[in-house]
Parts: sequence; C-alpha cells; structure tokens
Amino acid sequence: MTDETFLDATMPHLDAVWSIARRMTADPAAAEDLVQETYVRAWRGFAAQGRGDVRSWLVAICLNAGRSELRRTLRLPRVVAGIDDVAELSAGHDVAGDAVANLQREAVVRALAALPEPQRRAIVLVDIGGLTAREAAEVESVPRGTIMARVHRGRRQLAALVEREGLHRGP
Amino acid sequence: MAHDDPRVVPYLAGDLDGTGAEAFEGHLVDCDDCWRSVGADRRGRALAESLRELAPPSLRDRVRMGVEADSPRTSPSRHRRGVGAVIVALAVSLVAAGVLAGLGGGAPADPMAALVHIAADPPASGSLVIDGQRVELTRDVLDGRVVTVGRSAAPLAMPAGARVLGEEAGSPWATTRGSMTVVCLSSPENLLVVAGLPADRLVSWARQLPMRPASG
Repeated sequence: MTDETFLDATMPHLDAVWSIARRMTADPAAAEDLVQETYVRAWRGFAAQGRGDVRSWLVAICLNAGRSELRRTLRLPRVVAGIDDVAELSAGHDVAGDAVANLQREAVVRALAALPEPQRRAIVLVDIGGLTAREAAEVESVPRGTIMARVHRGRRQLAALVEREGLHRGP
Repeated sequence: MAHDDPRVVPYLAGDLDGTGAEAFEGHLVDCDDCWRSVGADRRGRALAESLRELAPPSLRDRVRMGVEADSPRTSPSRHRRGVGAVIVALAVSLVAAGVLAGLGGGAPADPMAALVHIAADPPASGSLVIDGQRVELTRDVLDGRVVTVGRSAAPLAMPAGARVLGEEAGSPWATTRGSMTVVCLSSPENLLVVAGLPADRLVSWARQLPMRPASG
C-alpha cells in the first residue's frame, strides 16, 4: 500500500475532517495539528482499513485524536473561534454586513457548544462534516434513527439559542 | 403540551415514501406544532451548515508531507520520534522542494522557496544549508502566526528579486513567496525570519529577539 494510494483515497475528505476539527479545537492552529495527526494515524492504519467507508473512518479517527483537545476546549468559558475571520474584516466590500455575519457565526459557535454532547456531536458529523446519517451512526455506534433524532433535537435547539440572541437573519 | 408527531424526523430525513410524505405535508398545513418543528429544524440546519469550512490550501501540503515523512519509503522506522523524526521531515521537505544539493541532484533552484516550504510546517528545531551556510532553525509565534527563525554564522546573500529595507549598509532585505515573507537581518545577529506577515513587522520583531548566535 503506497502513500499515494492512501492520499488519493483520503484527501477528497480533507474539508470534512477540517470542518469537524475546527469545531473540536480552540483555534485554527490546533485544528491543523489535529487534522495532521488524524491523517498520520489513518495512514498507519490504512492497510488494515479494508474496503469500509473512508470518510466515516477518517472522521472517527479525528474524533478519537481530538477527544482530549475537545475536553479542554469545552472547559473554556467561551469557545474561541472565528478570530481569523474577524482579522479579515478590513477593506471588504460590505464591512458592516461582514461584521454582522461574524457576530452570527460566533453566536452559532456558542450555541453549538451549549448543546448536549450527543446532539452536538451528531450535528458536527452530519451538518458540519457532511456525513450521512448512516455514516454518522457508524462513527457513533448507534442506530441511524438515534442519529436522526439527535440531529433534529440539536437543530431545533440551535435555532432557538441563536434566535434568542436576535442575530439570525434567516427566513 | 406540544404535539410530537413521530413522522417529523423521518419526513425531514426523506425516509417517508411518496404517499407518507404527502399525507404528512397535508398534516403540516394544519398543525402548528409540526410546522414549527420542521421550520426550526431547517433553520438550525442552515445555521449549522454555515460553519462548514474549506481546509486552508497550505494544510493540504502539510498533510501530504506528514504522511510522506511517515512513509516507510522515507522513514525506515516509522515510529521514531523526536529529533530523528524532525531530521527526516526536514530532509523530505528539502527533497520535495528539489533543492537539497547532493540529494536533489544539483544546486538549489530557489533556496528561499525551500525555506518557505519548510516554514509552512516548521519542525521544532532543525537545520539546513543555504548557499553553503548552515542555518539553525527554530520556530516561534508572532501575532498568532507561526514564525520560522533561522540563525547563521555569516550573513546570507540577498537572492534575486529581494528588496532592501533601508538605505544604510547592512539594512535587512526581504523577499516574498506566495503569502510568505522572508526577511534577513545581519544585525544584531544573522537572522532569517519567515512567516505570513508583513516584512516590517517581522524586522521589528526580529530586532528584539534575544541574541542566540548560531553554532558552527
């Protein structure tokens, strides 16, 4: 098994792993470390991975690798995220609009962190990581229906928490 | 107490067949609880999906290098740790950049490009040779960015395309490769500093670094 075979199979899922890593870590630098750790661990186990679903396998490795980091992040009084986005608020076309979007993003991050862990994990896997309910069920070792119910409850609560802050500009 | 229809979740997941979905949609029109539940789910989903992100382009290279450095092809013992792993990663970086004389098969094509390649994911410490000068590398953090600092015993020659930052003799020079800036100072010591930050910021920061002359 060559590293090129491995990279061809796994690199298409980098954005999904990155999105999940960003929600498990306090800042982009830690997320990059987590993604690299995930890929190195995956590479070492690739020969034994067989023909299973690569994306859910990678995500499971990311969750395991990031568990200690996640615990640390969740102990923080406020999830530190979006600082890099704020820094990019300079000479944009719509500075006020960008600022509101950033505030909303931060509100979503805070609301996500406030969800019960099973719901938060389900949303991170399905809505942010882009896994199907079946893939998420495989990662979490629970029935697909359980994932769907957790996602539904989590989404409702997320919407309520963000709307409570008065920042959601949706329909 | 709000009505909690067991069809809401399968409906949103697309699990209801045509007849079932149609019947539930008929119910939705008349049921405020289900209408609110479906609407909140869709709003929550849109909010959650707004947190999806594309991985930074540099991460793709970093991941690739990390895997290649861990490959048996380049690392006889994949479980080695510490300094050994750093040296292997560094060697792989240089080979990947095609610039390491003796290994890459020729003179360095662009030593600054090689340096920037390494600075995208710098080791905790290491060294490389640029224009015959041994440069000891360490990493630091400035304004939230990783900074690679190189120390050499003698000043490095200014590469083509670099610009001098000042009018006095011995002024620092700077050059850029992509989003990365390389600055080189000869006072108070011979320093190379690489990061995705403006040259003047790197120079003012580097001038305040504690002296730690390169060995050898």
